[in-house]
Amino acid sequence: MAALLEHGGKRRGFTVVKYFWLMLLCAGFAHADNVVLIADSARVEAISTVVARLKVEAQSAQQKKTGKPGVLNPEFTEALESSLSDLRVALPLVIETLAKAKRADAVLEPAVAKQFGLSGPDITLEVAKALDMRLAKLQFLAP
Amino acid sequence: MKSIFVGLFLVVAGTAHAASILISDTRDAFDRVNAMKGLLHDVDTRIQAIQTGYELAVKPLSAELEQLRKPGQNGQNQQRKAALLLQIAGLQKNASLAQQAVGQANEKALAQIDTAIQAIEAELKKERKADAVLRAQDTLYFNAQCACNITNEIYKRLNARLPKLALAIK
Repeated sequence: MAALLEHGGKRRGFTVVKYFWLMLLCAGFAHADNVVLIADSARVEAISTVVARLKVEAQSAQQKKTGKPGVLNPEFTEALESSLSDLRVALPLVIETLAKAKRADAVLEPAVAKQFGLSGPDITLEVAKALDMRLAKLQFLAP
Repeated sequence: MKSIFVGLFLVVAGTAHAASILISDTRDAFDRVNAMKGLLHDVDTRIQAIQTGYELAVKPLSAELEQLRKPGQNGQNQQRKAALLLQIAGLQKNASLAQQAVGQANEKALAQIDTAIQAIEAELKKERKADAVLRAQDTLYFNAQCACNITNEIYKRLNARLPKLALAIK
């Protein structure tokens, strides 16, 4: 009987401690309830394979037309920018889709997050990947 | 002992993983802030009045100038022509200065509204114990349905505190 009571006391003790921490945990979550994600849009463009491919396509198109390889001339730079405009339109949509899937409250540029003293998971790579998938068929439009 | 460590870990994880933020989206303020709507109407009315006043004043002068420019008019009218041109230029300058004054008064009033918005944001930050108040333009995305969206509350308080704003033109 004594052993049984002792066992019951231990069990009750454990339950009280468990609920105490559970309550504290809930309080912790209730206080900090916003999901903030970080996305570096400039880096997205820098690591996007579609952007890299379009740049190569632009260079080869220029070489074909003018015989000059290397740095793009203003005409081809403008054409590249125009081809990349689809990407810039798609970027916020991709970020929104990812943010919704992750139930995020906000997505911020790293500089903004730093300015406000906020931090969160970095989704830059995921954004670049999703963008590349979405724009896989994007072609360079030669001038 | 084990449960204490587990609990501590969970609490730290819970509080450290995210911060509490508030977001305000006042990009549609011109439609939702009553003081701004009134201001916009006031600016339009005044600019229109300046334009109409200018046109009414210039019309007879331009007509006279036109007459003087017709072929067959002798050179004695040169002085009158010069005087008319000077008068028209003066009217133009006055109208331009008046429009400028309206623009400056409008900017001042808009700054007053922005200051009021900032004060409300600070209040809400304190009330809701938030770590930061972000504006929609600071974000790449924000969830408009989030409880952290304080836009409606800002408009509600702003319209109550600043129902009307007059242009203070010097």
